[in-house]
Amino acid sequence: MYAIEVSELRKSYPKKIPLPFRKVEWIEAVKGISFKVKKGELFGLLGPNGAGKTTTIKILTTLLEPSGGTAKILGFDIRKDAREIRKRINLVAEGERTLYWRLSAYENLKYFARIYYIPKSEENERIEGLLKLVGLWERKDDLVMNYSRGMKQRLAIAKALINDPEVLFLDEPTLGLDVQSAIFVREFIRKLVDEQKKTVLLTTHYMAEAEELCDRIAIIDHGKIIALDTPEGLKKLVKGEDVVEIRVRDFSVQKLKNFPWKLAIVREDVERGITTLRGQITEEDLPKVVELLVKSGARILSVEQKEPTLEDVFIKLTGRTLRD
Amino acid sequence: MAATEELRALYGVATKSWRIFLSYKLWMVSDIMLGFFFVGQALLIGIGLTGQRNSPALQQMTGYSDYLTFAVLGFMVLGFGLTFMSGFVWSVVDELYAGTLEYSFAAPMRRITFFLGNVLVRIFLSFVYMAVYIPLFVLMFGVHIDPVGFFKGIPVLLLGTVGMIGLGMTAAGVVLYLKDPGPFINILEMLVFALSGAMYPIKILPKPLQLLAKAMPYAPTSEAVRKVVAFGYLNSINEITYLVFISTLYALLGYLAYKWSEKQARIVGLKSY
Ligand SMILES: Nc1ncnc2c1ncn2[C@@H]1O[C@H](COP(=O)(O)OP(=O)(O)OP(=O)(O)O)[C@@H](O)[C@H]1O
Ligand SMILES: [Mg+2]
Repeated sequence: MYAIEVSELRKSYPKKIPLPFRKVEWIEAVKGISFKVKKGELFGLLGPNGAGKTTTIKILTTLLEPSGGTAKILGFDIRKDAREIRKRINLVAEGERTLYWRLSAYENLKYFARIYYIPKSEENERIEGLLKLVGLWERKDDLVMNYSRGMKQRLAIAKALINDPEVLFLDEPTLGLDVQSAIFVREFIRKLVDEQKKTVLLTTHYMAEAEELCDRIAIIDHGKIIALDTPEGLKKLVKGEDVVEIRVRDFSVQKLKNFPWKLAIVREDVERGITTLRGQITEEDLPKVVELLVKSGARILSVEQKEPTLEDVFIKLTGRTLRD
Repeated sequence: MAATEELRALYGVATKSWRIFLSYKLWMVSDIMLGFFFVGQALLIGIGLTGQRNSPALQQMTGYSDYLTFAVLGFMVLGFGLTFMSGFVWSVVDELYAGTLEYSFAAPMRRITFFLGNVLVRIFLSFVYMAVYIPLFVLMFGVHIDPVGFFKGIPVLLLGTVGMIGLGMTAAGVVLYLKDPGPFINILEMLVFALSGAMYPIKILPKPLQLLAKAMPYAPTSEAVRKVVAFGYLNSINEITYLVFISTLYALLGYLAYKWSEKQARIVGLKSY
């Protein structure tokens, strides 16, 4: 049995609340995705803003009804067995305003212990264990509003472990964190999988994070999975081709019509007028690329060979960067 | 087993709501002050207009000659009413604004437990307020309430509460899906205030407004409570029967609205602000 089994999953959002007498338009956020996650696997959904990552997580955690397709969590159907699923999973949602800021960390966990049906006899012990695990025990009675962003996220993770879930869903778990906190969170997630044998599905738009952390990655764009493999497997897609970064001044996209290569803008230094382009370009093509760029009025500052990363896979598949 | 689990969840929601309420320290103060202004004003308007506290017109219409006692009883009902309208609806909308609803809705706890837990705190608060008001009204304004009659009124108040909770649930269910819930809640509050029959008998309202007042649970509760306090249960059968009807209706409506809102939440997703 798989921990997560997703088949042809679709979700459309109405633009307005659908009422019997009102015709509404629908936006397709997830357009038929399929994947399977094994027990004990750390699986990543990597994609740019609006790709449909959060939507997918909300469907799998039974917060949203899918418009089509099926999904099973631990063998339970998300439509029919929502409550059975909820008992066995947990999630860290996107953003920082998800816990009760006017309560202390301890009171927050107490609340979640009760609504997750944790027996009274285990409650205090479990909360203490979790707060110690995420390093918040000393600050357990402080109001969450006085916590730093990183501390809030650690508390959100503690909350997500309150029912000792078999499957954990983490939506952009390091978004907006400082470097230190992000490292703590990443190492913590890896340990959950390695030591406690939990299954984790996380979303991210940081390719380095996905590459470092995940056993397998599905790259999702415009509601579709465009590639799915291990990080090494994905990078093989760009192996053999050379990744080149070109820094230019006075770059203009408009003047580059009918440009046959997939180059993406990875950095723009507006102040100095410098643009960094990146893509897979072979040795034979390189002079032609440079020529076309110069013709468009750009001035070449440097051309550099780079090691391929997941971002290059994304650029190759879409012609855009993850940040676009 | 399942029932005790759900009760613990209910207790959890109620404790959480209560803690959050307490964290807004000034709320309780402003809530209680509102009551004093209300009753003080009732007294002053009454005396200002008639030169005395007793009104023969009121006596004729309602059986109460002392306007102040009339208003205090009405205020109690209104206090309950607003507790459910504003207090309850805002407590849910606040969570929506804050972004905290999602985690509660993702837990195995039933969603109705979440709503009822919030309601429970509101009922408790209403009783706390009453316990503060009644002795103070008696001391400061010399309100005459016969204790036996008063306690007879409480079951009737609770009966009306069922309808008020229904209306609160309906409002909460709807409000979760409005782009801008503030004005909607304000209008509902105004309606509750004007049509509760707390300050004046609804008989003096224009006919259409009277009908509207009759169609909401507040005025029927006020009337039934007053009648029972003054004349006992047996003489109030009509009022009580109507209250049973309207409370059942709103309980049903509340339940349907809650069901609808649960379904919507899973189609549209919760709005965040
Ligand atoms: N409640 C909603 N109502 C209408 N449209 C929505 C709703 N939630 C999301 N969408 C739309 O669905 C698409 C996918 O959104 P989603 O939040 O799933 O993307 P995401 O991959 O999580 O993006 P991000 O990286 O910005 O978090 C977007 O176009 C978004 O505008
Ligand atoms: Mg998202």
